[in-house]
Amino acid sequence: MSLDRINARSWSHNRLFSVLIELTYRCNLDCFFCYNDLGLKGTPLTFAQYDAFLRDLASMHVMNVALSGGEPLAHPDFFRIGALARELGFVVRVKSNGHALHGALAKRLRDEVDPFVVEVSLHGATAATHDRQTRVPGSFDRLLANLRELLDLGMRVKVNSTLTRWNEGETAAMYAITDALGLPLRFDLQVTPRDNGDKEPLDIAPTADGIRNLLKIETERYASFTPRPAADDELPPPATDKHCGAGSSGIAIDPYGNVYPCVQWRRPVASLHEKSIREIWGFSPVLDEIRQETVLARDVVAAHPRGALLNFCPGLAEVLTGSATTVPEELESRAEIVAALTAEK
Amino acid sequence: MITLSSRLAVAPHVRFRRFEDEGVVVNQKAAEALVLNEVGTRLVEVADGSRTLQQLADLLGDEFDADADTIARDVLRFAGELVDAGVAQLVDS
Repeated sequence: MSLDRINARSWSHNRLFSVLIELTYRCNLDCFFCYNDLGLKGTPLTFAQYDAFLRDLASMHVMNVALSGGEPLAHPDFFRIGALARELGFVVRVKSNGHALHGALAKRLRDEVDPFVVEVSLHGATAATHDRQTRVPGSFDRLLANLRELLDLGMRVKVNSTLTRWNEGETAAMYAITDALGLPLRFDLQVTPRDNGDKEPLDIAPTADGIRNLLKIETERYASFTPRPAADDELPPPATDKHCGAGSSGIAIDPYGNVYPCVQWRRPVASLHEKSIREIWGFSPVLDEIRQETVLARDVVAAHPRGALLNFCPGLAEVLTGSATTVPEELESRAEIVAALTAEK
Repeated sequence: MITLSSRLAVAPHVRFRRFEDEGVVVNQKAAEALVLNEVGTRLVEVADGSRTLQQLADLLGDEFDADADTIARDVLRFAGELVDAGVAQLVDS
């Protein structure tokens, strides 16, 4: 019985399986291309509301909870919420910038929250590049020291990076850093607009050459690697009638209790201040629309000549084109690069 | 050695969720996930260390309307597999 089959059933049966919770937009870094809408106003969820929300999710048999931000550890109740998630039996992921993860705080994270994995962000192979992105001097050196400390504590760590114009010349060196630490590194090729629609982050979107170089490096690396078991968020798309699990097996929550189909697709579904997640999940007309659009998106990708190479995301499409089922030019261009590389190979 | 007098409990580093008539078990230490069938799912749900495998077999036999010897054999074998996989552990009575 494979996990992939469970994944497929969660998509097709609308079984909520994974929830991403943005606890706060506060952060101890100031990343240039941060996608959070820092101007968003609202009433933050209280601990009592998180308590009720998590208990609802547990009763709905949700498996995965990701604590994200901003910097999730900047939330005053982070440890209470994380410990409760652990107590309720979720597989907990913590998405942190890693800047504060050392000393007593790192030990508390391990002992009280016991996350399945801590995901941190690396923005370059040099202090000049990484710190330019984070706009906090010293953040590169501190991150590397903290990564060693987390490993010494026996924690599982995954490193994420977004390819940008600033770091695209350092990707091989970034792999060298994570290889030396024995950590997986995963690049995201897409710089996204901010959640309020601000496209300023796209100023540092990677160039075609940068994408090409990274893909060449990855092709060479993975040709010589034994495949490792995939994490659940890296599973290949299951065979269903939907393009993705947005609003079908997953949702995202912002610090003010607004519910979205996923972290990338910021179409407001409902508010946890007004309804429980159980009510929202079962009866939201917006979620019904989203689920129908993911079916249409699958057809769009299937009919596209570069379909499988598009890495199509309906949420990103909605931000860039106004429609969740229109392929953005950016994705078309990137798919052409991938196609050309595949043809060379 | 595991016998029908043994008591079984899900290991503390394991996360479990029922998924319709199946169950998903994540071994956090090993970073492994298992998908369990209906009987295995129910066994994990009731394996809290307070009852012997014989008592669990009796319970599952009633719930699934199964032959007592067959379900006892299945419970014993499945409990052994869970222990070997690091998903469950034997506890003292």
